[in-house]
Amino acid sequence: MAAPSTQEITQLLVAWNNGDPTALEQLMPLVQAELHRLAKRYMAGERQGHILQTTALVNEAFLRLIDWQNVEWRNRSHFFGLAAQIMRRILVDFARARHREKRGGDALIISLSEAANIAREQSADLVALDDALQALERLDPRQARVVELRFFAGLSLQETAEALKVSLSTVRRDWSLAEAWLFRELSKTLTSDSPLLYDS
Amino acid sequence: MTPERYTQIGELYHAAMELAPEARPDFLAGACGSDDELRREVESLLLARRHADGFIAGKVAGVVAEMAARQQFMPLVGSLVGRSIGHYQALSLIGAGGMGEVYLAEDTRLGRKVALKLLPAAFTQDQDRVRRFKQEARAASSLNHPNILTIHEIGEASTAEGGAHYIVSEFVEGQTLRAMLRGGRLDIGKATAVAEQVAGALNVAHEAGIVHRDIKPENVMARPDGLVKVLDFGLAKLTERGVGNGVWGAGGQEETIFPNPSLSTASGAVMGRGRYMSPEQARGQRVDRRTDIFSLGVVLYEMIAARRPFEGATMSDVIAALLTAEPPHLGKYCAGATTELERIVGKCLAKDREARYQSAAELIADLKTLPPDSQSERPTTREVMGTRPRLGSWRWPLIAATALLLVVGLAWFLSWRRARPAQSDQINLSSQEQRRPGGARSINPTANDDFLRGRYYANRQNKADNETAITMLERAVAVDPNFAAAHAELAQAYVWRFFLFTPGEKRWEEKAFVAVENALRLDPNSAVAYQARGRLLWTPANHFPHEKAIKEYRRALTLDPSLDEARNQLAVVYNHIGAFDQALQELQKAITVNPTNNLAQFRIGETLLFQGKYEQALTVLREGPREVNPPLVGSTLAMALLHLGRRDEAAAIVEEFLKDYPGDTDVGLFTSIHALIAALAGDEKKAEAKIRSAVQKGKGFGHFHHTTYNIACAYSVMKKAQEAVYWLQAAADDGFPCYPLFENDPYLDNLRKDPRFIALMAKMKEQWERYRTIL
Repeated sequence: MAAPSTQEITQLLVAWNNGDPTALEQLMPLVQAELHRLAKRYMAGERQGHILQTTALVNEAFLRLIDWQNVEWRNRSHFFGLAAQIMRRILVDFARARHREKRGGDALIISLSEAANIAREQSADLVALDDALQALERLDPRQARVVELRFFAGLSLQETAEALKVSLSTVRRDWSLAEAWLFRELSKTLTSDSPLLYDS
Repeated sequence: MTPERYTQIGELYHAAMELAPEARPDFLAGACGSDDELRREVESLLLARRHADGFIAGKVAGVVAEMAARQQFMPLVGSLVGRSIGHYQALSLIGAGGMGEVYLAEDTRLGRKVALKLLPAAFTQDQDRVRRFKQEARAASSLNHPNILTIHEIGEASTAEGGAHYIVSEFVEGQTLRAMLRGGRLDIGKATAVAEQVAGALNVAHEAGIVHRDIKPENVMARPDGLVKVLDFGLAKLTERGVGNGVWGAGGQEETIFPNPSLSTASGAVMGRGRYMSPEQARGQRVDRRTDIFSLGVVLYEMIAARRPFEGATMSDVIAALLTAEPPHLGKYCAGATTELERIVGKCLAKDREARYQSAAELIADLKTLPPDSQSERPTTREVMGTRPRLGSWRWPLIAATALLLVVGLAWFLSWRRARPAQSDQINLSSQEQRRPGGARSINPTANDDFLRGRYYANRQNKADNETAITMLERAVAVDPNFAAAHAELAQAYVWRFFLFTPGEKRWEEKAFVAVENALRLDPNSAVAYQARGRLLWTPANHFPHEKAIKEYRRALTLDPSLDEARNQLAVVYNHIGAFDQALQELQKAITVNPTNNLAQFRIGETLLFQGKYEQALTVLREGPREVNPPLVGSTLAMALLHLGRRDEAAAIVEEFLKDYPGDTDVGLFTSIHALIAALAGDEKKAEAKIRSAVQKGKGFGHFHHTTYNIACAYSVMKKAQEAVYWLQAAADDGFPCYPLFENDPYLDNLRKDPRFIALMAKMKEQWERYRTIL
């Protein structure tokens, strides 16, 4: 697969930032492809079962995709805000598709690798996480941004604080509560027990 | 919950977090006062906090890991679209599964649509997987049956990512049985038709020693014309290793009836059968052909009942039901299910495989015995008549008239359909009716129209109709070059052209060859193409290779037993080698399939003539339109009349033909009859003259062996034994070794004591005995 041109991607990002919704449609598959490619490389390099360094992965994806030199970004954190939204959408769409696939098909799928086996449960949960995150947005938009930046754009607490122009301690507090709240919300719906492995 | 409430909860949460855990209950009791709900909210968040560390990271990482893992066998969904592999260009992604992606692709060399199944590059590093992939392809490609997806090619090509293995198969336009079932249950007739076709596919595979192992609605496709294709033969064979390797239980331990995910990683197999598996599969036992019959039983049950016979909330429950419970009666879900249908489905679903159908052929036989009533429900008539309020009396005549119109229309439709059994408007093809009009593809309506008309004329054996047929069929393939059936019919039309009408023009023979090849390339199962090929081989230049032609016709009839023209042609060959009973059998079958097949009827006349049954021959020949094949009818009629002593009538027919068709290739044949008439009249001079003329006019033509036979008869009548035996030998050598005719024809009686004749007959008898071994 030919690597997408960084210029092309940057232009699309700028266009999307300027309010062109169709730019996102075009942007998504390009970012997705790069993410796929990187994820594969990361997987190959690490032992199965090892938790991926998502932050590094996402960071690298965007560093590779964006033409940093030639674009006047309002600031780096602004860009990461966009990146996080895109990444979230990609991952959740993927998880949703996987979830639907499992619900729809009546195949009894025995997984192909340990990693995929673990991940199979996660896809359903990520969909639930996204739903919960949307609920959190309504209750406390900043906390939702913190989660998004932390986990979909791979920012550290410090970077998140900079991106949101709040203190580190605020981010810590936001993070602590948001994570607990999301965990509790998901506990109500989590079904990571064996049933998720099978369609019933 | 409101944002304000959330903020309130958050503030208490943060405050509590500042405290030591043991101090928190008192703090919350004080802070929340009588708001118990507030306290419970904060307490539950504090509790959650203790387990929440890293959980989001885990979820996200897990999904990324899954994306990555998935990429190993599904690099980028649809990534091949617009690109080429070998000489195939991927047009769109039509499916993806554990063993790869399936694209609609174009074969750029042949300009046809195909399905291309690609084994992802990442797998090619896995030798084991490559081996299994090829195994699947080989198993599937060895099977040749209209109900089995045809494999065109198993290939390997290098791409930017490395080596890629692929399977190219015919592209089936239609929907899976799964998609059909989403619309609810099928009516019984449709369900049994699908089951019969699947069983037909299984039968062929089982005969070849291949068990499908994964019969389920996803693996059955139905084309809009009703033809069913079973996919993925051999794919399931891959899972057999899984069975042995403990996917279904550690090392085949029977107590482990449920696949343990932790064991699955060892073999990395993909199992897809789930709810269609048999008890022996659930137990991890050896599978055999009866396993497929069980799964087909589940599918048949589901088609009729819109539910599976063994249901349960979880897979464990399903398997428990599968192993222990009897399925609910079909009648519970479908009022039209007869006890016989129940019995058939029940026999498929017997838990003990010894109690099931032991072969798919047995199942097919039983499905065929289902009375028409149970094959199609007709609730409409009863509903309309029984439940509607009484109609005003004036309406009855109208209804009667409508009903009459319907009956007449139906009768017309049926006869029209029989006359041209391959119309593309057939909805429910039974396994006998698969004529495969265009293979798995959409047909250009203009081309189809020309095709249908062209085919009608193609088998009317007179020159004008043949020319019409060629014009129409050439137009059909010009408009739609991928129209396999049109190529096949065109081949047949060309064959008639060069055999019957313009034997000197070699180009028609060449065109016929090309058309046969085109048809078979586009549709390797084109029955008409094999039929045309049989007729193409059977020429004077090839010395009429009877056995080869018989083989081609039999192949055509295996592919399509309802192809009455192939039976006609087979009967013609049988007549020439003196296998009259077999010829009559084929001709009767042709007429049963297609009562309007006049050619078959006239051929029966010919057979009766050869058998010496002249009166009967006359009766048969006088029914039906002579223009379908004027020389055949005319010459046979004249010979029958001659044998009956009605010489004048015979002469009149000969004269009439020579007057009406002066330039016809059969002028030689009729002239030879003329010679015989003259010989019988004692006019030797005239007879000799006619014989010379007949040889001159008939030589090199396909029917010349009949001419030479008649000449031999004339010489025999004139008691010129040497000449008679010479021409008889010529007839026999030239494709007409019709021993029983030579043995019994009264016109040859003058030769019976001639040693040359006796020697010839001895040789012919020997040959005839040999032919009988292949009948």
